[in-house]
Amino acid sequence: MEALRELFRDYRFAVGFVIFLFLVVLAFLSFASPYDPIRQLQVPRDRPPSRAHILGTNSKGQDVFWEATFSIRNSLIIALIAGLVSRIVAILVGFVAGYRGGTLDRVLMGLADGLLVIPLFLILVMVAMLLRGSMTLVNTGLLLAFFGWAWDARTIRSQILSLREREFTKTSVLSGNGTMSLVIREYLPFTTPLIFSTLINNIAWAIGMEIVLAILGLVRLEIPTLGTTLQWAITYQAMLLGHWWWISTPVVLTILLLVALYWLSVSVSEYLDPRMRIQRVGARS
Amino acid sequence: MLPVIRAEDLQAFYVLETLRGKKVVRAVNGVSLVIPENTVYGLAGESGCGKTTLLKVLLGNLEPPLRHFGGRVLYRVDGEYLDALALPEGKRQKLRWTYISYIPQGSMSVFNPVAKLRTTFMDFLESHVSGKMRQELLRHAEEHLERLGLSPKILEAYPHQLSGGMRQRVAIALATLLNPRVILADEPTTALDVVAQRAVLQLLSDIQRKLRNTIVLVTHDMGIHATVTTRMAIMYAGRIVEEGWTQDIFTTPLHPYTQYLIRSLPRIGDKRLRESAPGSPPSLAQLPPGCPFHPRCPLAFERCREEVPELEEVGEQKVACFLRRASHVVTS
Amino acid sequence: MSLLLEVQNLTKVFALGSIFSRLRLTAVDRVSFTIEEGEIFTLAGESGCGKTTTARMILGFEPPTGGTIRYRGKALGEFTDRKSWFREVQAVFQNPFETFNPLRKVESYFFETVFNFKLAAQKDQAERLIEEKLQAVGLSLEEIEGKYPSEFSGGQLQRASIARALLTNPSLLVADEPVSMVDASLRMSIVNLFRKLCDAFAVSVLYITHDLATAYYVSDRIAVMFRGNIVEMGKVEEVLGNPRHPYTRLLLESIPEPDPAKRLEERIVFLEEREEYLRAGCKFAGRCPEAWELCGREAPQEVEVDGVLVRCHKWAK
Repeated sequence: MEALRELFRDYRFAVGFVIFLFLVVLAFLSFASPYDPIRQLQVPRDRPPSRAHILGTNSKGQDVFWEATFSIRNSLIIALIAGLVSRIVAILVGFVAGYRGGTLDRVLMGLADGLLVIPLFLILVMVAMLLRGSMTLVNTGLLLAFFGWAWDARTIRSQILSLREREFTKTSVLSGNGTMSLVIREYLPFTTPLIFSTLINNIAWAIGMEIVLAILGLVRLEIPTLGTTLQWAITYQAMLLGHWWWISTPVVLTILLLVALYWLSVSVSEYLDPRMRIQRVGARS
Repeated sequence: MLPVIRAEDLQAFYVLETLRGKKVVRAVNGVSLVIPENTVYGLAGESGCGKTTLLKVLLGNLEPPLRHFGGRVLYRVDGEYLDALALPEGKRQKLRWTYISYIPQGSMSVFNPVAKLRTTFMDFLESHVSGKMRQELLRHAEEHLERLGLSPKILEAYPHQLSGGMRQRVAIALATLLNPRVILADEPTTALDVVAQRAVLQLLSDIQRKLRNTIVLVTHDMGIHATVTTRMAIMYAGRIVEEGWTQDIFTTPLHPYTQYLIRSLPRIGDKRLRESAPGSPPSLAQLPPGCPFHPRCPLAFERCREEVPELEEVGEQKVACFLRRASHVVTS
Repeated sequence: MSLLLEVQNLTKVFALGSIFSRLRLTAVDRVSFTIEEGEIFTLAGESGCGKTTTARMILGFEPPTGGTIRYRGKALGEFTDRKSWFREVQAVFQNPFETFNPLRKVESYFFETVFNFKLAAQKDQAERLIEEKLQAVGLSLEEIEGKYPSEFSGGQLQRASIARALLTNPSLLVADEPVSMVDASLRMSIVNLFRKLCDAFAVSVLYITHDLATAYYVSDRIAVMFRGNIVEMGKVEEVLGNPRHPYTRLLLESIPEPDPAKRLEERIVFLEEREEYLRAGCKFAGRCPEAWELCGREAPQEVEVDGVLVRCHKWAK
């Protein structure tokens, strides 16, 4: 698509995209893993990187490289669920509250404000503690989504409030559009950059939160994710024992992932900014 | 009458980098003007003809992507001619507001929306006048407002508390605080209704009469030109196509475009059919060859398509048309 | 000629300030007028006189505080939903560049209108209908296809806006300052278009403007509004040719005539909007050169003088 070609001219997008692609490929590699992700003692322990095990083995007797592919895959799944679900809720709430106004607006914003005011970290930890047993990938994702929609719902709502006053809203009403189709057709193009950049930010946040929860031991630790592999490495004192391959793998992967997401977010939202788009459309003529 | 500003074959273009390559918008495409002192001078033209850019160039405000490609702007300061575009920025800054001032289109952009007008006036005075006490400056502002028929109480208001017409008049008061010799007013009445417009025009006329300076009034509304200007120029697609005494231009418009402009205006008491000029003005980035008006001109011939006509004198008027005295294109 | 729109005692009151303040601003005060079929009716006045609020109430964008609006005898409230209203009444607005969403193609509004109002079942039928309306305004589907608003001039966009409004074959077109933001040299072509639509297709136009010159040129009847009241109403040649109300006279004098022989002479007094709205008695009394003591106390009633309705104590017998 022409859009992609234009985006690639921005070095941030190009580099971020490549890194992200690399990580996604790694995630897919997990399906080809010769080892089971959960079972321990499958290979000799604490071996440094060698031909047989590219990134060495850990103290639990697992191949670090193949564990890493699973950890990337699972972290991405959690983050994607968190990001997508919270976007959808934020959009629905923000659009309806912004366009309809009145009591509905007040109720929805009250809910959102409540969530914003709550000390997120404490609640998250509390809930995770209660649900520890059932913190599967999906549940972790949903829990993070629950805390991720409020801020963006507010931002989207304020954008809708100002868009509502613009003349093309009237034209759309006169063209026979009902609330839902109006809001989607007219306002979505304006809110897309916001939604997209917050999606990516949200994903990055979810990655980080998952790691935090894992370090605190609040998830199912046997499922490999970036957080849990890091947690195990810390517990087994990998750093002190000099098993650098085990602890640096999740760290490096996380850094790469977050940097890539950041660059993607910045370049895409700049590209989608309505003012830039209008300028581009004008330049075409 | 001595001129207060001269423009000599001015050329200023916007050079834009787009995805398709370079785009050059020839907003001021060879403009020569002699603006006399002690006059209300009109500049007529529609949106997209380059008049706002011309004002920017006359002010010396050339910021990228607007670049100077040729010609000079001369100010007559203290009996001497200064090349405005060659002046160092410091000197030009000093001249701004004291010699030449600018009232932009849309008064809201002149004022800080979260500050009282008094603050804006005082900031302005303090940065341009040295060696005076605050009290003196405040009194100067109040006296100026009174002289212009505005109540000094408005200094206590915020910009949004005033109506559009009032704001515009306050913007004019601000622009004339330091008694400049030239005031460039860009569409000062566009967003206003007839009554507010009249108040603004009245104010401008009063200022010109009292301070005996020059007001360059830029507007597409020919009615305004007829009412307040004494001499005027018509601009089309980056060039001046006709120039002369307002009276003459209305009684004997020479250029076909001018004729369309004047004849298409509705008047009370006359319900006969009126026609607009066919087509629309060209994009300044894609000008037609030869005379810029030829695609819309019913009297165009071979030469019009090939050569660009220069401004020539025809009696007391100047016109840029090979016909020099076009027969009436619009009967009315 | 039958009655198309009947507005009676239409009123709109806004509350000023916080919930606790009792200041009320009557933006539209018991306004009554009628529009016939095949007529261009102008609602004229300065900014802030209530003409735009009146238009919004007629379109249903603002609920009236009082009064009735009847269309062919049927009250506005009786129309089951907005869509059935918009089949009959459509609108064109002031700013052609804001009329369409800058991020959407202009043609999308046309197709939406056609399909939302079920004016055609298939794409080619829709295209034929759209082409017909575009031709009526001097454009074509080929010209607008695939383009965004920024690729057009103000005049073209305004024509497109009119074409879109014509799709449902409305009987009434509300045009709110339709040419004030269009270039002077293109203005008349749009104004002439309104006349053509009215004469050839029997589309009545409610023309809202502060420009009395174009109002004179294009309309049949006119109502002059001042701070919420209609102060003079009648045939446009009568009202603007022989103005009776002092405000109408002021408006006419303020128009800069394109005739250098007529320069600005008399000075005018200029008061702030809010003061005038909250005045007791006749709202124009503060500026009226002919006001006397009664005008400050009592609001004048409407009287008929030679076929023209005037709201002024001077004319009340």
